[in-house]
Amino acid sequence: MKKTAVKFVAGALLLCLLLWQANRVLAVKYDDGIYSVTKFYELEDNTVDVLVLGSSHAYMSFHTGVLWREHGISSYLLTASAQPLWNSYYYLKEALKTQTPKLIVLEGYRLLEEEEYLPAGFVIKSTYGLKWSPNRLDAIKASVPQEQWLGYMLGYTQYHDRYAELAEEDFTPGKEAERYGDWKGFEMGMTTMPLEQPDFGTCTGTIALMEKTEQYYRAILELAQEQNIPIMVVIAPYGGMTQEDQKRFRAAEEIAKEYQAPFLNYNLMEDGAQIDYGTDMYNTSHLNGRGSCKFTSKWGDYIAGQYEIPDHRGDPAYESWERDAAYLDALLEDVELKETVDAGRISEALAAGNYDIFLSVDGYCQLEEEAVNSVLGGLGIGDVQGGGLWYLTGGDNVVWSSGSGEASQYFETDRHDFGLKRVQRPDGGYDNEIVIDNQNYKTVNNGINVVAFDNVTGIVADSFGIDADNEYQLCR
Amino acid sequence: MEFNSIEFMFFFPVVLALYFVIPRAARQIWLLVASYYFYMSWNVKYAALIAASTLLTYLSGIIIDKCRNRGKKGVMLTVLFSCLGINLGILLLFKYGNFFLASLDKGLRILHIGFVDHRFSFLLPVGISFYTFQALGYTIDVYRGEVKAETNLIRYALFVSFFPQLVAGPIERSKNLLSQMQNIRNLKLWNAKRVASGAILMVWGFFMKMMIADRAAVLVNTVFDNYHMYGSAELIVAAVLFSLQIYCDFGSYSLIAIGAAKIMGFELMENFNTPYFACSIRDFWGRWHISLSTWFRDYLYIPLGGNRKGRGRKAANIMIVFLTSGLWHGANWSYVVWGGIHGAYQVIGDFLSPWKEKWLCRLRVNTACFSWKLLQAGTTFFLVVFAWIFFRANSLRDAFGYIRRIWIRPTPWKFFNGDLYTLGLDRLEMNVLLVSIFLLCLVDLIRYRRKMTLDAFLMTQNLWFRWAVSFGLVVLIFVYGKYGAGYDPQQFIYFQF
Repeated sequence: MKKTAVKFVAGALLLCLLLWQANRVLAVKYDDGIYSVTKFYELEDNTVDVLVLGSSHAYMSFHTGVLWREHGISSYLLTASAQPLWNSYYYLKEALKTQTPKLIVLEGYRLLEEEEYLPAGFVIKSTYGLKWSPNRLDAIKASVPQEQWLGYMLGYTQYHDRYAELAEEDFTPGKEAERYGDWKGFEMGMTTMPLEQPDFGTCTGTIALMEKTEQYYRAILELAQEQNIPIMVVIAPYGGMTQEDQKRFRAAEEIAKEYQAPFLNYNLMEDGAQIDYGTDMYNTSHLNGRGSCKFTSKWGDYIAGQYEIPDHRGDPAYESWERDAAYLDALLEDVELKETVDAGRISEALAAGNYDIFLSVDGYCQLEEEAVNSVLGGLGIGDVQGGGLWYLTGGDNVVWSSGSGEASQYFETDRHDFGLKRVQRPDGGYDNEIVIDNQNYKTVNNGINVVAFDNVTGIVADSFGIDADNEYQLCR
Repeated sequence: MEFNSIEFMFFFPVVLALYFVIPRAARQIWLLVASYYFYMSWNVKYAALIAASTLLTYLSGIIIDKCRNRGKKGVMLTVLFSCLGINLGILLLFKYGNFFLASLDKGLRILHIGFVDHRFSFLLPVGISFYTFQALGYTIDVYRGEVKAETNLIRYALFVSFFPQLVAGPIERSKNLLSQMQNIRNLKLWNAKRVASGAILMVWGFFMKMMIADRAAVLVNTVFDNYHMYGSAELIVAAVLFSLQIYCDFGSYSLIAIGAAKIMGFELMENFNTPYFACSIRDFWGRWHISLSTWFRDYLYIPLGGNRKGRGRKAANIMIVFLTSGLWHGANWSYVVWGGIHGAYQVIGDFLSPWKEKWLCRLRVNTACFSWKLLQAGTTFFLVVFAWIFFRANSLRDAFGYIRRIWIRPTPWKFFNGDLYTLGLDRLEMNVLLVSIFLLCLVDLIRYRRKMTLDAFLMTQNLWFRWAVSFGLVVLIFVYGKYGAGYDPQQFIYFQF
């Protein structure tokens, strides 16, 4: 009997361990929802001074690096894609267990919410990051109809079919990409969608918020009030605000007034964020990196003037905010590099930046061409007759070069693999290969190819060629 | 509440835990309450139907038994036929009412006599064919004097409504299940081997359902519902996969039922025994839905005269049984035709048998070797798959259209060019399905060659292997099983019967 009981317990434990491991691998790990909460749990208690709640409008607008660089404010964006206010409410409840922010900010785009229940993906993003607690269960209950509660609470029934999309990060806990090391929830829009400057016009009147949205909106305001924490509502700039949106925001503003909470709609403020819709938008709904810097700078000045929020710059306990800012600075540089079209300026940026540069001279190439010269000269590469491959760090420090014959070299870091290979073809010519993390980078067949790998952000910041077949134009 | 639902995941452990700890005297009533809760989770109202059927057959049994003691054979017969008539009447009304009205309407319209536009609006009560047959089997057994009438109403009600096999069988015999229930107080529940054995059967059942049946269903539904768009390759693959789907779907339900009952201390009859290894259609029906086949044999075929009244009568009896069996499966002419095809296979086989023997002898064919068995099994499988087309097609017209397209639209290149991955199952899903089917073949081979079910086989192996297989299956189901948010639930096919 005793032996049977031992076997039973051991078997049950083993089975649970196996299922737990399978669940851990299959669990969703979205960076636009789940991760913002799991990283939040890693923070030291009472280190966040400004806590931002909301949807993608929040995590693409409030630049945690700018806030730190300009005011030394330690902020965190506890957000998720399309997060409705009922989920923001439970995020706030969960956050207040460990943090006592000096200011709570609700980005209010989802005040426009009209759907009582959102699609499964959004529900998962806004609930599955939360630890098992009454808050998580309540968040699920608020997010889906009653008949679906059980399925969502079990969790794995919602995501077990992810097996077809498993990736490295699903199997390597703790081995996070560079971007998550000190992440504070900000997602930078890396490209630009040029838009026309919108005219939102003026309108009067209000449209009532959806009942459920208003209920949780008030709950958020009341919770902040109960905790004696100032709260403000901000509508970050976006391109498509309609008259109907304005009326709903006006209704929301009146509710905020009841709680003495400032309500700032940066789309309507005359001296708002001074967003240039031609260069500062990622898409019609979100700011890009440049736009978020402008907006945050303006808004940061406002809160620094209105609230007593300490400046933590230089405090060793807040080093991770410094690293987060450094990462975001580098990321913005990557964006700027990719948007530069002048070969000379690119060359300067490469020489000055924190890039590993991989360069190949391929096929026929007139070295005296200005574009070629400026790139090679800027990087300090002289003798390139016969072509070849080069690996440089710190702007112009040549780590390895192939010479004009066949050669190959492989480099590796903690997370990345680099391969350089020069092989002779049967016709006597040479093929050069630059491979980073199993991806082959080659833009032109004749001319020069350059790949800039950013060591800080861990991404290929830029990959371009000077094309001998196209009048030595710069190609991406 | 289906076996592969979240509700059952909670329901069964709770029922089991209480069943194991409550006083012995309460076991029976507890299982009855659980069974009715299980049934009412589909539709509360239909519990009245099963209760009525239970009460009717219970009283009939007692009256028949008493009349026998007093020698009143006429009353016995009257009660028996009244009981059969009322129960079958309920079954006919709920299951076949609209079918008969629609068929009558069609017939009248063809003859330009008139039309019947009335239709019944009620839903088909889940599992009505199963529990009706089980209760009728009991009444006939009592009439024949093969079992004594059950006087304990709670026990009898539990026999009719026992939740593991209530909605899709196996259709149990009173001689087997009722006698076990009479012994429920003395059951030794804490038996590790029996519990482990039942759990293994349940896991294997879930594997068949969630890994094979519901995955194959994706492709099968795509093709059968749009067969006009496909050629022979897709149609053949879908027909073969449907054969596996229905086996794994129905077989899995039976296995889960048998496993669940076993954990609770009851041995249910085997319902499937490697049907696709059958070497003839008769052999197939000895391995497929055994509880129904033997029910028809005992309560219809033999009373009709069986094979005792000449070849012609035997052929007629076979056709009656199989046409009835077809109709039992569903209120549609395609089911009747499916049953008729199986009946015809057997009748033709019987008539050709002497001729076949003669030619085998003349040609000196070795029938005692593997290759002959393989040929027979292959031929049987082909015939069964062909008949399944009628079973799965949405109508008789669709079935003929499906077969016609296999013939007139040959697309053999599609077996090679990857087009089969566009039928709802991509390459990964197809690979998972193929590996699962391979495992199914292995388990069926063990059953066929070593005459051992999976649980019995594993119990003869070392602990590490037993755990590796059992836990491996659980993890496979956990990861690759068809369930959850993105899952379009394929109800157990036999529920509709």
